[in-house]
Amino acid sequence: MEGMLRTGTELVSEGKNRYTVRKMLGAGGQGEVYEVVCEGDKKHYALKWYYKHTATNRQKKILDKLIERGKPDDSFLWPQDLIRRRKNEPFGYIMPLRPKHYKSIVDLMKRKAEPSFYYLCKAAYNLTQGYRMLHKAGYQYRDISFGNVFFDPKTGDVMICDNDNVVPNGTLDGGVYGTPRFMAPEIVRGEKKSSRNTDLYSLAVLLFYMFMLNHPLEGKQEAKIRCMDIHAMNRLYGTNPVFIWDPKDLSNRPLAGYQDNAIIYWELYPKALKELFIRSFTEGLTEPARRVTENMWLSAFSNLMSGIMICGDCGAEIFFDKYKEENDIAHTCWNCHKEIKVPSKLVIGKNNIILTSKTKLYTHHILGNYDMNTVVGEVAVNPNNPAKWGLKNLSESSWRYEKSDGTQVPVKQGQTAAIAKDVSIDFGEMSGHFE
Amino acid sequence: MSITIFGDWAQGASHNRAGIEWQDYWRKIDYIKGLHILSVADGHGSEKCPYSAEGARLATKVFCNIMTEYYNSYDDLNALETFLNREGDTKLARTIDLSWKEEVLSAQERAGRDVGLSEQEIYTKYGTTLLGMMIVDSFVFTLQIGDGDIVYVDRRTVTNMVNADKLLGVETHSLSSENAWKHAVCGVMNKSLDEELPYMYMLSTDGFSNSFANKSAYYNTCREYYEMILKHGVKTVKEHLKGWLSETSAEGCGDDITTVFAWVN
Repeated sequence: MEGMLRTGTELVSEGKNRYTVRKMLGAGGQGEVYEVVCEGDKKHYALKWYYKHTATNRQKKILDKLIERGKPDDSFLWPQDLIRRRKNEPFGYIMPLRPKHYKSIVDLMKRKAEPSFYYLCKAAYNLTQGYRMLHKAGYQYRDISFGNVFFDPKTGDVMICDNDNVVPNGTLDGGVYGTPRFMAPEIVRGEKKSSRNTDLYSLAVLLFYMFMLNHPLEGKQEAKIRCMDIHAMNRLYGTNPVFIWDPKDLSNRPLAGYQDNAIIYWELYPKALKELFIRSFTEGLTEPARRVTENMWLSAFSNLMSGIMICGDCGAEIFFDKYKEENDIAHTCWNCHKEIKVPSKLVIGKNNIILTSKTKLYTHHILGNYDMNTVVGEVAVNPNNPAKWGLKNLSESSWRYEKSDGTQVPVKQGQTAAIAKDVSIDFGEMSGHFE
Repeated sequence: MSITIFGDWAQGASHNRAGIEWQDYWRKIDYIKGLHILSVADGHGSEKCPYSAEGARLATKVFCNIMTEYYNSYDDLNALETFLNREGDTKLARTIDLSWKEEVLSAQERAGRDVGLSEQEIYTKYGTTLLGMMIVDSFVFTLQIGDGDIVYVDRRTVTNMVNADKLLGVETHSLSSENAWKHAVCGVMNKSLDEELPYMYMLSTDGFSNSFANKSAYYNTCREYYEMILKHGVKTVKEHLKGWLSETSAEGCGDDITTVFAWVN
């Protein structure tokens, strides 16, 4: 089934590039997506070709603007060239092709993708960072859902596609995009148009899915629905939304045997993450201004990534939970149920960095700038005495090492500071101490 | 544009010899204006699955009922298309999975069979695959759990509309397995008003494609059916279909074959 464009069709873009259609990749409500090859650079790209009724002037204007302003971040498969054969005929746009090893959230739900917790957190971090950059650039996404986010389970890199509904924040074009499942309740009820605030709600739903493999509002109420028609969706996501883990309203708890993921995974994460989800789906349901911002999510995910402990008995990844530590609650392995002794850690502000032989320190840890890619330090094991560990300075500035007796020693670039209890390091903007 | 749905089945030559009853089932809905539903199920027929013929019947019933319910519940077909596109292989597949299991438990209770088995043991006894298609004016939706083929044929093209989530060897995913919905694959194809006619959709159990040496030979046969309907009409092909399917099975893998066509003219 070839769709609107046949294999071998040649097309010339507004950027004067020549493309040949290779095959159809899929179809959606707005158009069909094809794999094409560019004659110039011989690279393969994706082409989204609109149906007649969706190839509107308004859509064309949106695309022109997006191509002109360029992508906000590398994670976006952004429109880069426009193709129009004749005036008043359907058109399409060229974007990078998603590599095959990227997986969807549905793959995650179906266990066709099983990233480690570290890379799951990294994917959540990168996804949130992508939306942060998009919003920072003055855009709103309007249609966040399963279908437009893909991730590499081995690196946590993400790709955000279907960016052709992205518009400048505050645009009031009357369009309603996506499915109620990811829409903020006020949009489902028809009270508000999409905005950055409604994007924040959709992002929270997507993140909840990634971590809990269940929708945050799909508990007992959803289990009773056989036909998910528009009335059922309006009720569930718009007029009567109840968070499945609402601390006060227990009426929509997940149903054992049907929504097991939500029950199993909720228990695995630290209280700090759960509190963000609770806020998103209790206060955040009715007070858009109280929704969790990208920066709050990024802080939480960086802490999750930095706080992963490995069970000495079975090798499972366990999240450090500050709440448990403060309340003398033991950390136990979710897999073998044995108690976990929390390893040494470096505490910098709100960041708790568990120290293992592979731990790295990122710019975000010492500057709070949400950069979890640039390494500024790493744990180094003394080759002559493996019991002695240190923190190697890989940044461009000098640190100051402060011993418990108050003496101070500079730690220059390339030098290693010994890790010892009650010792502090001044990183410049922030200081941390070993616990 | 008119759509004619017809199909037939042939008991597998090897099943015939062994005295095994026909394990496939097919069903259609073509009496609601603007809606056509086709469904084919292939009961596993092994010793472990003595009631798989009943399982196959229930699977086609569940698919047709649920799709009709969805069609009747959505005033806006664009909204239904978006829903199926985004959640066909999750929410819808899960509903089909759970509804089939409910039907199986009811059937088991009604029949008073094998008292004392666990639910999973009961499902296994009714094990089946499922192929389904819903055709409306603006799009066509397909769903597949387990093996079999959903093929599109027109003047130039023969192609599978969805690629089944396959297991190695002769094993297949089954509605009876735990979380069967996770193995569902779905597809939504938009239909344009100026599409080239005629074309056809073919839903067939794995006995059909397994009767050919390779995919190419199978596709050639699909094309021959297309050409025959084009030349001799639906009525003639329908009359001979059972005999041709029996020949295919006898000369091929010996399994039951069920094939259903939707001829769009």
